[in-house]
Amino acid sequence: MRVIDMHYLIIGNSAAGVFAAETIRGLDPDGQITMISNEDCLPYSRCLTSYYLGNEISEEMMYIRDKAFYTETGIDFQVGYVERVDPDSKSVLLESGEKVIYDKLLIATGSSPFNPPLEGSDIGGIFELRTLGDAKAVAEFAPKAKNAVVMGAGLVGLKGAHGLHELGINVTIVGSAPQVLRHSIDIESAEILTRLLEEDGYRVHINTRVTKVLGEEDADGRMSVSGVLLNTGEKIPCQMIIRAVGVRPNVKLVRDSGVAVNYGIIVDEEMQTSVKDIYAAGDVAEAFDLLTGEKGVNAIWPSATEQGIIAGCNMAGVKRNYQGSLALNSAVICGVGIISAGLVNLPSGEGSVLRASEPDKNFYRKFVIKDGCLVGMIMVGDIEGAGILSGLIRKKAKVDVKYLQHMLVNPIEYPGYLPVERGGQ
Amino acid sequence: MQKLFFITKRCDGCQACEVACLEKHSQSQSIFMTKMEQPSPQPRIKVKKSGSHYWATVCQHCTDSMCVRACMTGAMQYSLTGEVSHNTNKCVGCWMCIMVCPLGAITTLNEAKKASKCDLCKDEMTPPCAASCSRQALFYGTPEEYEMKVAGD
Ligand SMILES: Cc1cc2nc3c(=O)[nH]c(=O)nc-3n(C[C@H](O)[C@H](O)[C@H](O)COP(=O)(O)OP(=O)(O)OC[C@H]3O[C@@H](n4cnc5c(N)ncnc54)[C@H](O)[C@@H]3O)c2cc1C
Repeated sequence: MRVIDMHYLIIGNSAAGVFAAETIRGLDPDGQITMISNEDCLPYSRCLTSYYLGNEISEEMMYIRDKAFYTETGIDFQVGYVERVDPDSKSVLLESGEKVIYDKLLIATGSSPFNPPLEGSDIGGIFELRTLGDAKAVAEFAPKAKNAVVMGAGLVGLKGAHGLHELGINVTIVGSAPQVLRHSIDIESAEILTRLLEEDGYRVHINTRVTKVLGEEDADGRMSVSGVLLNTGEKIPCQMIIRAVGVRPNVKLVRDSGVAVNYGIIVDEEMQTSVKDIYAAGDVAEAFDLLTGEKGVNAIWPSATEQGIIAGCNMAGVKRNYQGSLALNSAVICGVGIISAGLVNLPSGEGSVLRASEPDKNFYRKFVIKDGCLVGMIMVGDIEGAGILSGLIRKKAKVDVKYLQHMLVNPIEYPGYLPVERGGQ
Repeated sequence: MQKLFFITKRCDGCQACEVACLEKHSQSQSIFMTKMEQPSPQPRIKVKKSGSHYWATVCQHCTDSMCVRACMTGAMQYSLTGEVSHNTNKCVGCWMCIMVCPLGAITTLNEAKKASKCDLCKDEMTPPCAASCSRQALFYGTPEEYEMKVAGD
């Protein structure tokens, strides 16, 4: 008797979806794999949209897999928007009315920009930066702009600002937090970055909000952006705006399906949701933090791929547990590298900090230690060896503090053994 | 899959491996000319003194690689034979791989805005670093071959 092949269905063809599909194919050569995405293209990296926008790379370089990807891996790729997941009939319903059944389902729908209500936001010249389509739209409009405002001083905002800056546009960054990159670095390193940005000609407003978009009629009689009004009363003239204040997981398709959602879709160690045979991974999934154990979405590329791999293993019947998400960020701002990992800002009174700072050399290092373990770090400037430290954080082992003190001001090198304290884990 | 293994107790820190790697990855293929080259080539293996011994840091071509997972461009990928290959054309120098490599085996080519790591010199029978190691502290082979080799030490 022939065993009927398993049908794996993956929604989303980005980081989590692609790594899951490849993992499944590696473990189950005969299984049927279908991928559905509303983006009709090869898998690409949305982390590169700002590079594309700034003319630093071609469209070709955006793709993370080559043309033969779907055929070589034997994946049936379908273009479509999944409206609803129906666990009872083990199927999903597409916008087109088509129904696709599955044995095992992975929801890897990622996240979308979240835009709070804003007066004047229906005026032409306002953009987001999430998809290749967004990047193309911004790139097409950019030649008409001399000045731009980027709302949001997080990673997407700063990267988007860089893209526009590369095109010779004067960019003003407006962030509501007391610092840039508030989720990934501390105030000291943020000050270095802000200074670098300002030296390069950006204007940076922190602790500030855009309260209104100002418009005027363009030559064709359409309303087009002419500036923004800040809560400080200041008006900033601009011809275009990128909104990058945050993202929200794309969970609409599981509404009322029984799949439990908190902020993202809740998953267990196997990346399975509250409903059997339905898994979730990437920006849409709410897993747990490696260090704190707290539930949360860690919307970064490395977490999406890792979760995709774990989900793929378990879907293909090979048990593998997720160790938890580690906050990890790497950015290059005005040519200066910055990498952070783990918990970089502990509540006061908790843990201890080692710090080395030479702001005029754009050098900064901060190691956060708690209960003898390295739990967080920031490196600005010389970032080589950062993975040795993030590896130590991941290991949760008691670290030799002398080693860390040495690493604070010297090149970070792997000494040939783990620099953990005797009696450590 | 063949890769490089480092046998600490045999290494006397001569750094011939670094020199051989530098030459191999230079445009001129001549160690005497490397200093003149722009961008300046970097060795992809680094020997350091660590306490009373030496340690050579070089990519271990991990089977479940952190760098492949973290790479946001698709530049780091497994080859069909399982090595971690780095496509420098795709690399944009975002340093995500450096952020996660627990061995520190990936370095920056700052001028070129590219990451750099051991590519095992696939056009050579034996990578020049291993060939140049007079004390045979660098072993090129499969993990099984390495096990046998170390067992015989
Ligand atoms: C400009 C920018 C820069 C970034 N830079 C970095 C960086 O430097 N480092 C970093 O770690 N992270 C970065 N990120 C975040 C990173 O891109 C995400 O964490 C990652 O893409 C998440 O992958 P994913 O597979 O979970 O989801 P996504 O990449 O969001 O992909 C989800 C896919 O599913 C499709 N989809 C969604 N809903 C449906 C539906 N109902 N039906 C069918 N298809 C659907 C979407 O169209 C999309 O193709 C950046 C993001 C942006 C936007």
